[in-house]
Amino acid sequence: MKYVLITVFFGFLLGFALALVGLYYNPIIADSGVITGVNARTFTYQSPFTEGLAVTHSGRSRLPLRPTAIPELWENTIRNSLLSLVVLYDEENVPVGIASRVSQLSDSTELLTRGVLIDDDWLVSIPGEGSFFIEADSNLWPFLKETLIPVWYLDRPWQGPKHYRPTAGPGDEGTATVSGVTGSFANRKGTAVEIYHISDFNRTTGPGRVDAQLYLHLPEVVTSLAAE
Amino acid sequence: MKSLFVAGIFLGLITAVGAARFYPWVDHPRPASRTVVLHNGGRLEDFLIRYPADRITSVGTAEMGLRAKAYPKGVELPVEMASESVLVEHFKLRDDQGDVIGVAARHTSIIEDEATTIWALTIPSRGTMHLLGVAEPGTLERELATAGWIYGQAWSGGIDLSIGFEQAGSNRIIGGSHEFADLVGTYAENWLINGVGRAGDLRGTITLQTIAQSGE
Repeated sequence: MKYVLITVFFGFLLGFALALVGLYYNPIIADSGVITGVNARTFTYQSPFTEGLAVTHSGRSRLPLRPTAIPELWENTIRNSLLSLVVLYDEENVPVGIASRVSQLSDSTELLTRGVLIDDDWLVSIPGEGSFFIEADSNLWPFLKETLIPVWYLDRPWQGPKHYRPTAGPGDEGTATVSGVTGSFANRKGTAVEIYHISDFNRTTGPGRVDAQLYLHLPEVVTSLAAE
Repeated sequence: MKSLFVAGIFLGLITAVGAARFYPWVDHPRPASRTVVLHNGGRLEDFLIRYPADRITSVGTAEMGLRAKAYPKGVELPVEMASESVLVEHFKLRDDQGDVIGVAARHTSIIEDEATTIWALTIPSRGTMHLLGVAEPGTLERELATAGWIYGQAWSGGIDLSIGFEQAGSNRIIGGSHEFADLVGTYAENWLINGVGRAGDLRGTITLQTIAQSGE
């Protein structure tokens, strides 16, 4: 009986380990890939941790707060949330808007078919034009697998620079949904996709230089970036 | 013995894959929703924000008054935006018992002479509620001045200010995400201010009283 249990146990361990390796390299939850040539308005912004107006979280992360005096989100109900405030720039690198973004781990996270999902709720105001909301599901798994886990937890050198397209839903074919609220955006529905280009990742403080693009497709009639 | 080893492998595979698929990896603490069901099927829910304890950040242009002063120090808009009319504030959001349940973003801007306030109330376990209302920059400062406040001086007292027009429906709930996706309704925004510091920092409570129902 003893040898039976030991045999099953070691078989179990081997099977479990094989499954973990399979999940780690699971192509189903890989990055959605870079989009090019879409008919979308493009905003750019920099890392909220180094260039943004403000960023705060529970205070338990290695990620820095900005500015350092900002209150932390330490309460039990919001300690998995991250608030960031960034300036959006247009194609000519002129600051045109402000985006508030509240991100939190999504309870839709599922490691077999979806990935490590973040619920992102944006409120964007473009002075002189209007405001809109973005609801996005962002898949953090490719970034965790290729950058954060190897560098922070396995002490390996960073293999960068890296491109990521974290947007994975909830719209058609992995796009975020956009709802126009005021000004020229009022009553318009559309989609958005976010792209990151990380050219520096610090072993101590995390993302250094990050160039992010937000592709916004907000037609008069409802269509999707995915259809471009 | 070999078949037992193979069975163990399969058991390990199934366990790991099953955990990846079905284990609740994220489970936000969910405080009870403190809603009151109304006779018409709608639901009433109040949210509180306490000044200054719940203020996370605020930044805006000079036209937007006292609250546009950057908080905390170091939050600054680009100079290219100085001529715009915009105020961006973030707060911790409380339920009517005073427990922190989420994070609120409030953007105020003027588009074509119309001043609007937009709220995004994010409650991690429930989603984000979107509110759209009207707001006139300078209203708070005028009310405070009427009550005896002088710019640059400390003041204590009490003013109760309603933000928005008197007529019903000027402040609207316009849906949101997850639990709030299909909600429509109205809300009232009240500012009960009982003090202003020399630097212009406010003391008081913002109350958001929402009355919502399914818009389907």
